[in-house]
Amino acid sequence: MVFKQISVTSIAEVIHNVQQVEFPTDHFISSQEIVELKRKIKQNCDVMIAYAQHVLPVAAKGSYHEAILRQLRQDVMLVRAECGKVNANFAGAKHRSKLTQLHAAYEEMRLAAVLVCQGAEPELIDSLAVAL
Amino acid sequence: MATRSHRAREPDAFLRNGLRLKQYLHSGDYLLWGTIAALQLVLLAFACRQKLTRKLPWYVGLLAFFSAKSIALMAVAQLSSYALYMYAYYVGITIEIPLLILVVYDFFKIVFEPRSTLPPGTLPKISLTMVCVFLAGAVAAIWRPSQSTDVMLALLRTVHRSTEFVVCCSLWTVIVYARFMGIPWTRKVAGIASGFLFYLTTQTLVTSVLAFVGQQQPWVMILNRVSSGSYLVGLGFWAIALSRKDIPVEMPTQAELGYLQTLWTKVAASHARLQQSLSDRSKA
Repeated sequence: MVFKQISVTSIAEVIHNVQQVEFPTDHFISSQEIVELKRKIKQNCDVMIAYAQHVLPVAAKGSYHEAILRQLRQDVMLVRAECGKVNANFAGAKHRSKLTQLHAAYEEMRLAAVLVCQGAEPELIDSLAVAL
Repeated sequence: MATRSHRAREPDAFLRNGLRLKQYLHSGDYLLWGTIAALQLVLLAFACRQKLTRKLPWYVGLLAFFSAKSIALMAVAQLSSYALYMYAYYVGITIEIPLLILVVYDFFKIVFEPRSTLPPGTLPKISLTMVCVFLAGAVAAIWRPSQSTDVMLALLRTVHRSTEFVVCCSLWTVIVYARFMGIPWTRKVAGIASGFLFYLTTQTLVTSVLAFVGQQQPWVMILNRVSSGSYLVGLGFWAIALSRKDIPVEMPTQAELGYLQTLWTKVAASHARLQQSLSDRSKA
C-alpha cells in the first residue's frame, strides 16, 4: 500500500492500539531487544500521529488543544527520526547515547500524549499513561 | 477526456488536408467520450454536495474544468477541422497543468500541515527533490523535443510532455515523503490521490514512450487506448473515494458544553469568594 490510512480516531482506540514500551536498563542489550523496542515505538508513533492527523484539522485554530496536538505531532516526528538512528547492531557507547536520546524523545511524546488526552478525555489519562 | 485517445494520432497529413476529427472517430470513441463526460459531471456534483471545496478546492476546480473541456472539445470535434481540434486540445492541456500543480499542492497541505511540526530539513529536502524532477523534465524536453511540421503544435506537445512528467513526479514525491514520515491520509483523500497517481503515472509513461519511440509505430493506437482507459480507471477511483464517508471527529455535545459552563460558573463564583475573603483578611 502506498497510502497509510488513518486507523485511529479516538483516545480509547489509541489506548487499545499502543504497546507498552520499556527501555532496557541493562548494560548489554541484544539485537532482538532493540528490534522489538523499535517495532513497539514505531507502532506507538503510527497510532499517535494517526490520532493527531484525524483531530488536528478540526481543532480550533490558536486553542490550547491545537497547540498540544501540534506538539504531539512534532514529538512523534522527532521520535521516528531518533528511532531511525538506533540500529539493531547494538554495541558501544555511541549507540548507547543514541538510545538515551530516543528515550528522552519518547518521554516527550508520552507527555504530549497525556496532555492531549487531558484535553480530550481526562478520565482516560491513567489508562493512556500506563499503556504507553 | 476521451480526447486523450486522439492525442498522438494526428499524422501531419491530417493537419495539412484539413480533415475533421469526426471522420476519424468510431462509435466506441463516442461512447467512451460520452461516458467520461457524464461521469465527470456526476463526480463534480457529488464533490460540491459533499462540500469538498473546503478541503480540496483545486480538485473540485479541476473536475469542473475537465467537464467543461470534454463538452467543448466534443463540439470542436464535430464542427471544426482536425487542426483546430488539436490546438484546442493542447491549449486545454496547458490550462490543465497549472490546475494539476495546485491539486498536488492541496495534497501537500493536507498531509504536511502544520509545517512547523515537521522535522528540520524536511521542506528543503522535498523542494530539492522537486527541483531535480523539474531539471529532469527540462533536460528531456531539450534532448528530445516533440516533432511536428507545425512549430506551435510541437512546442505545445513538448510543454505537455515535460509538465506532465513534473506533475506526476511531484505527486509521487509528496506521497513517498508522507509514507516515509509515517503520515496517514484520510480515506477519501487517499482515494482521490490514488486516482491521480494511477492515471498520471500511466499517461506519463505513455507520453514518454510515444515521445521517444515516435508515433509511427503500429501499437501507438493501443497505447492511446491504454491512456484513455487509465483516466477512466482514475475516475473510478474518484467515484469510490467520493462514495466513502470519513470518520467524523467526536466533538463535545451541547449537553456536555452546558455542563462545562455550569461547572465553570461555579468555579468562577468560588474564585471570586476566595479573592474577596483574601482581600478582607489583608485589610484586617
